[in-house]
Amino acid sequence: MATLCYNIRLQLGEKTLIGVTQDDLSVSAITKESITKDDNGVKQKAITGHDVTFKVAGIIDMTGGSSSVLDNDDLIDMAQETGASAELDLTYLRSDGATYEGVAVITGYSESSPADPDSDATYSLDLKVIGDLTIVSQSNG
Amino acid sequence: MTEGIATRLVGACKSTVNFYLSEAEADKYPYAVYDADYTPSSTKDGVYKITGNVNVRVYSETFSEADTIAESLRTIIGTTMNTEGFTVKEDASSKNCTEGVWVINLHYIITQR
Repeated sequence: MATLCYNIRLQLGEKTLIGVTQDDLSVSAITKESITKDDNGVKQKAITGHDVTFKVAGIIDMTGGSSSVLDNDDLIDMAQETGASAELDLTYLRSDGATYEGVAVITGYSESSPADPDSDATYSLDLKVIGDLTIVSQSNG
Repeated sequence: MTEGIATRLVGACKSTVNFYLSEAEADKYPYAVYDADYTPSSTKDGVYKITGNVNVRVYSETFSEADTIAESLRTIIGTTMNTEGFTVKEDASSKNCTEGVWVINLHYIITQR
């Protein structure tokens, strides 16, 4: 069995998120039920599309962003965009070389900052892919 | 993270009292020893924080000497270690006498970023 790929990274536009501890990808089918008299009482189900979402958890980095990294101030700005300007190019990079691309919007952003100085301030970011997440580069393996 | 927690701790304390790792390298009181265990915290960019659980123990044949040295170390650790890149929190302390030797234990949580 091949080892599982680890340390998958998420990029928004040309910038990589900093402080990330976990990236979660979820693909779920949208189904539609129907029944006609020809179905003799048995409901029919069809997949009409897919919801593709990402959830990112991370540590808030106070060192500030740059042209290559996204800090939390950038994320707060982006989370409040509306309309077409809320759409972000998203790249999902596996360490085995596979690359997925899509367009996403931020559907949620939250920060948590405990009083204990030994604890870290953390953030959570929710992204929803608009359209398909498409593979643009195959894995090396 | 070029300078470790232990390096800075030894540098701060060694001018106050003979200061050793884990056990004394001399049989003459007073002296102090320290031990530490470290827990690194990582993001996908690498290690961003090391948390050290550090015990500093002062040994002396008299309580007043042990207490004076412990207070000096407490002040030095609180100031010298609490500088850029490091944070120090004194978590607990205790004072005990065993077979005529006073031992004052200072427990710290030292974080290096």
